[in-house]
Amino acid sequence: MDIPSVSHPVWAKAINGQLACGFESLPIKFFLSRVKPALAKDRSPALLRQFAAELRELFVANAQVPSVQRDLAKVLQ
Amino acid sequence: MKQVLRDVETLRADILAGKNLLLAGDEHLLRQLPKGNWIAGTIPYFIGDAGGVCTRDRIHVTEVPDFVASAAIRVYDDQTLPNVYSDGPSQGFSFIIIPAFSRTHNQFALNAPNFKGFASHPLIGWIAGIHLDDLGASSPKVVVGSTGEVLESGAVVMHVTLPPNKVPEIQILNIFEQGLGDTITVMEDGFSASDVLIGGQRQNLAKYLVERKCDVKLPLVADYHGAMVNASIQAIDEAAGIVHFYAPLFQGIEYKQAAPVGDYVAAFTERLPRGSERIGFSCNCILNYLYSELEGKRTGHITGPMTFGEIAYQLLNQTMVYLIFHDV
Repeated sequence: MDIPSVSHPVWAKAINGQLACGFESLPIKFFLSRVKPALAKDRSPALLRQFAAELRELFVANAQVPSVQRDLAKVLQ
Repeated sequence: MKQVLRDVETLRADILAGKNLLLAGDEHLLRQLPKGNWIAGTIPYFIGDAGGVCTRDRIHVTEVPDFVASAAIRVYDDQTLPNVYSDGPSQGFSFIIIPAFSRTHNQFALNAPNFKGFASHPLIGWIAGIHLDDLGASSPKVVVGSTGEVLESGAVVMHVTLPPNKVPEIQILNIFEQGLGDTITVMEDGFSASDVLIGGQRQNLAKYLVERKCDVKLPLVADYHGAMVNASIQAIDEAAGIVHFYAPLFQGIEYKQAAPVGDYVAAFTERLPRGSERIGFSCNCILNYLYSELEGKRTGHITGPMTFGEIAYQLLNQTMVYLIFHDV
């Protein structure tokens, strides 16, 4: 499954908690939980872009893990 | 990966045969082992095939499978620890052991989620401990099998590269869930808390827990997008108004004390995932061993060391962490 580019809006939606899709994989759950309090303090475009890139990179790095593949499919629905 | 309890002599033969091994045992046993491609941490508590056991006579052995492409040992200190994720193999996993109460333990617990490349590949492991009778008289340690070094601080890691047809995945099994009580948030990250926000009101956490006769065996639980993450209560210093934890609480995370659990073994076995016979490594928490009186009890077919902290990408408490391999 192709992973969208970093500019794809789906990453921003994910880090903003706008995807209510019930993630399964630990890396994604842990990452999004770290992002939430950080964004509560700083919602600058630069930080949003950074987190979007980091989230995409997590999907790339863990692309072969079945639960991550299922999470990616949910993100892209 | 095969997990068994072995005596020193049997294990010595495995080491000399060149096996890649992840070990857990009492310090005096680990010091008797020959050099080889193994790493270890101190702990005498285990779940073995016959159930929970505390032993200073045997070592818990996890054999890294023969199908691995390589298994490289590396030692990290406080300066190099932030590289532990980025140093890991792109195709594989890393196994880490850190001594409890060390600066490295503290650093990893507080900062790992901010290390470069966090969760970019699987990092699993545990926090080394000691027999509870030895608290104050001895210290947890990790051992670097390739050199024989015994360390009270730092982390020993085995970076394991897998063939392309094997994919590792870390999962956790936590029987605790958030209870129905107040939401607790802290004003700074740390292993202890005094004044916190409880239901949005500033209150002293120690006083709150004591006045409500809260069961200190029940951890505070945070909901990480569906993954329940515990911070176990170590002690309440009522006079000083401080609660000490075995894992840090983090600003911006909402905690609730766990709902009571009746029968740990029943709750645990009910939650065992399908396909759990594929588990390559697992460890569980010494607090689950103690509070749930697991000595002599089996937890399904799950075995492993009972530790002073579990690592599944980051530090966890009162949680079983495990590694499985997928065939692709």
